[in-house]
Amino acid sequence: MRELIILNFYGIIGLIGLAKNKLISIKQNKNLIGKGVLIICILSLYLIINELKEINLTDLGYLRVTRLLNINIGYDGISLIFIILTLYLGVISIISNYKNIVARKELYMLLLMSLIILMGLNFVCLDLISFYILFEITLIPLFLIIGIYGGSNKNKAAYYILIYTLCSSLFMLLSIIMIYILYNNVDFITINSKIISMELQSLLLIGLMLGLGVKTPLVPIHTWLPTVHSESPLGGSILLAGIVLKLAIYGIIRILLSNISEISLLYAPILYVIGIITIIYSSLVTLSQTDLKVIIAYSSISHLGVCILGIFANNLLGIVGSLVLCLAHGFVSPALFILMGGILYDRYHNRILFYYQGLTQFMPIFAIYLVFFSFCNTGTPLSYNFIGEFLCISGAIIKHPFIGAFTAASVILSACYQFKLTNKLTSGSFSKYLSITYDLLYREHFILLFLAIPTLILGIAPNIISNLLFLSSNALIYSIVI
Amino acid sequence: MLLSSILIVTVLTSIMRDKNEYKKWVNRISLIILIYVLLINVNINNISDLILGYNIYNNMLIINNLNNSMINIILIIGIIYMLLLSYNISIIKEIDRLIIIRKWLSLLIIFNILGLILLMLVNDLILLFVIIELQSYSLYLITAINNESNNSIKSGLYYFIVGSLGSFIILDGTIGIYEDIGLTNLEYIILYIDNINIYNILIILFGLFIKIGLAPFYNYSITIYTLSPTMITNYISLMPKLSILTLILNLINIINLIHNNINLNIINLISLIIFISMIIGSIGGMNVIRIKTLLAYSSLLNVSYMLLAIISNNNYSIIAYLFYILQYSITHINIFSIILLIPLYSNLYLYNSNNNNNIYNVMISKYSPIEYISQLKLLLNKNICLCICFIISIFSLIGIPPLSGFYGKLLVLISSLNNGYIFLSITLVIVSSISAYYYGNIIKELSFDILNNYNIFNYKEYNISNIKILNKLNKNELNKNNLLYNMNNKDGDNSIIYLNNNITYIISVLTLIIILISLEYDNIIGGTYLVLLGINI
Amino acid sequence: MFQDIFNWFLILVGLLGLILLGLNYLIVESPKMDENVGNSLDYLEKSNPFECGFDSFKQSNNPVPIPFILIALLFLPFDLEISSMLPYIISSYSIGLYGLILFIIFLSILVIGFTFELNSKAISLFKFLPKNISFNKSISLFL
Repeated sequence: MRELIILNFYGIIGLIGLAKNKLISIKQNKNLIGKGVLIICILSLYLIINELKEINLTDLGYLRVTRLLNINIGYDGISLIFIILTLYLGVISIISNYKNIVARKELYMLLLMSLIILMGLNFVCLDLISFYILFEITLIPLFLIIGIYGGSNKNKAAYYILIYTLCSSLFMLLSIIMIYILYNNVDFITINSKIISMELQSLLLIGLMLGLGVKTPLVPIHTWLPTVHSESPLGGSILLAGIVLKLAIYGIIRILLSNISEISLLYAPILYVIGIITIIYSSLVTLSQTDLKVIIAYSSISHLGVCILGIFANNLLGIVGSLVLCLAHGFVSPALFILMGGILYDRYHNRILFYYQGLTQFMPIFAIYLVFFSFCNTGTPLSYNFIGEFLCISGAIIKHPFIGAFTAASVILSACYQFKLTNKLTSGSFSKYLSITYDLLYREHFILLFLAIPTLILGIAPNIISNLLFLSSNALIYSIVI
Repeated sequence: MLLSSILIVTVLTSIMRDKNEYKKWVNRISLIILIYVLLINVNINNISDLILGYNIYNNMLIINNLNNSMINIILIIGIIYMLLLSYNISIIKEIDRLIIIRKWLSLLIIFNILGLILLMLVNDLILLFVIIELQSYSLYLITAINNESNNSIKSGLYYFIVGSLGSFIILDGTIGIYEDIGLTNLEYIILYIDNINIYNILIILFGLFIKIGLAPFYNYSITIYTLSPTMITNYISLMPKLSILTLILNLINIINLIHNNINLNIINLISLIIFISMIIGSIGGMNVIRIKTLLAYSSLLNVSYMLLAIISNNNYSIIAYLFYILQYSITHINIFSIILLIPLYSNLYLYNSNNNNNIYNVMISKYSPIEYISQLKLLLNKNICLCICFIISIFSLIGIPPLSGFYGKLLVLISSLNNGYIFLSITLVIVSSISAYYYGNIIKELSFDILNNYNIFNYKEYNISNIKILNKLNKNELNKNNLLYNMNNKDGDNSIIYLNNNITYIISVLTLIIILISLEYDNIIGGTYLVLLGINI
Repeated sequence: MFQDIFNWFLILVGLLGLILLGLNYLIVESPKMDENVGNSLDYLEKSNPFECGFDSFKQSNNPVPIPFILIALLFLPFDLEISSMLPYIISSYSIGLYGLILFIIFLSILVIGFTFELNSKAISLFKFLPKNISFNKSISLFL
């Protein structure tokens, strides 16, 4: 664990020094910083997969707790899966922006690398205040990436993400401070073993859900998401959709379900209603959108609405289901962003739905990937999303049959907008507004393949990962610690 | 320590001669004086000796741990400021003229620091008036020190008028207290606190609020911070606040000793003032186009945060106050130092007189060439390190972890929630998010448009690295050997301008402190906890 | 009976003044310092206090010469300095050597201040004379 952090830290400082070095002439190595960042990311991925071999997968509780600069860090099963997802998506985001960004590339690569490292560190925190610090610290690279390298409406998108997430996270800070004032201690392990009165718990729930509910988009505080996802560059979009949304679900499991579990049981009906409204409302709104990336962004909202329903389901099926759905969504949504925002936007430089039609004729491989990922996004069996949604829906139905049945509407509604999009793009005659360009470059093929393979394999045999998730969630919920 | 500083001040006055080349030497000698005073203070006063405090000058002044720490902070900030004054900032003399302002400046600054230090130690209300006048008069003279600048004199006069009103109100409160009991010493006031009318202390506090520039008395301070030259605003918008806030802390500790209805009324009134200041500080800064006005509104906001930490009455308040003041001063000086360096890279608007297209006469202002936010444009292209330092300081003001501003806000929130001020804490949260907009505005101007290629200026803009413009600015004194530039510049931004080491060391050290203060957080909190032990709360 | 309502009368007067000021602030547009538009001269008549008469065309012809003002201003600190020396003169025997040393310290601070203003030529009144008047060169060093 320590070697990973040290490698990343020294690596990024070395790269910053390299970027300012005037001895190495830029003309010879054009993409030096990009290559360096890619190497560091792949090495980190290798190191973290090595961890999988070294630990004993049947241990319960937090593993590998070390002490870095007076802070305890360590992971358990859930965190490990998400760190692997972070680094995997990190590699993919760097490759996806390898040739896209032309001007000021060094700054972009360094900001992207710092974003990956900070998001990865967020999953190994063992106390509330360092969780909050790393939760918020990603605002600095995100603000700069979206503002400098974004699309045409980037100023508005940059302000949205800064002010929205800052304001809501400060309410979460108020709840964290109340916990600190009570106990004088913010460790997860210490806090999990104490019980607070119900009135105080409801106050803490309001603060925490405001903070975490903006990042898992819950209606009505989801309005930052479509603008930000559509105006950000491709790497930022992938990391945002892939990881930041999952951070909120991870935060709900670690903080809400462990500490203030009685009130989350009591307030679950309200959260259920909010979740259902999220799913139905966002899906219906998507039907009238015209921007390609905004449609994919809204689909994230409805998927994470299903996750919320799973998490507050008060049984292990729902919790594991939501984690599985998070993971699956973390594979599929970046792939769709690459298809819409990377391939189509690079070639044609606009994202308006009306211009595209009949792309199967001259971009067949693109169409194959699009159809595959569309089916995965709606939750077709043989894809990992299906397993996640199945578990979530069963968990929700076990808790409350009537409301839980509404979550099945997510499958239908996502099929509506997703296949409206896919049908428009793939079928019909070739659009008269477009000219014929390249099909899929080798780089894009590579990353899409490496996002399609996990979805397919895990859809057929989910036990590879789900065992670990079941065990760790079991340990967390029943408070079995090391 | 105090005696030596007084003596040294008097020695310095004898040095003042009328020689033009030696202006920098005077600044450097005063720098050495300040370092000497700081070293004496650190060596004499140990924390364990000062737990109960000792009185000097016949019970007129009291030195305890809190005052000692604040003296050290003020001296360190004064030293950093004198460092900026003592050396050139770049090779180009036009920009360097910002710093060689007047020869009396360092003397006035030493007098002012003497006044600030004594102001925190005060234990008697008559001496409070005397020292406030000492501190204020030197501050008025510092504000108005540039005789040739219209704006500077305007702001000095305005400051004088409003500041005297504040002193008058302080005197009014003192008279009220003297009327009830025949004594003016603060220790005796604590003893006889049931016999006096507590509202007189509130009147004294109002006078002090006027001097800082809180709402609803904030308009004058926004005006003077905008109109003064940049080098002067650096000083006057930070230093008086440090010592007057410590004095307010001492007075509010007296108020908090009684526990009945009147106490609550006063605290409610001060909470109302804090609430209004927060709202005005955040919303007033939205529509501004000048950078010094924006920084003035942000200083109003930060002073209201510090006041919120002060009126909380528990252990965390002193820790929050000391930490917040430390990190705010560092961020403040960092921002102003960077603003001093930006004219080298920015577009100075040159006005055209007589409508003749070939003659450009004067910069927008010789004393503060960077006036509008849009002059900061595209700094990311020109000097990326300076831009990153600026961006980090602004993010620290917004309050994003792990920079120092977040820890300050965290401690203020801990102290206020511990005491039950929930409404003010929620207001702090909302106001932080609102103010994040105009801080983000600065970052937007700095960096967001670097990939666009468009020409938006209607003014004629020129980059000072172009030697022809420098020739037109000042025909006689440009020494071509001094100016290092790259002759083959295809676009005007490729010339190399060497900055002086002094100011870059200051900016880099302060930026590193802002970033890395999270590593030493435990030790700093431990230190401020030791300060806490002697204060009677 | 008038004494009973006097308090409320005072409050009413103040309240009326505040209401009128508030109405003025709300209704009238005025250019703020930080705006790019507007001319501050447009509202000069409204924001000034009302005085009858007209503005003068030019300044008066014979202003007060500045040496007069300087002498009046500088009289105060030097006179206070002399009057601070008075208590020592009376009691210099009874406070002996200790008092002498304190008096010398006090005087030395004042002497340093005096050298300061000598060097900066703050007290010289001859610099305000026009340049073409001739005077004795030997005293020009000190004045």
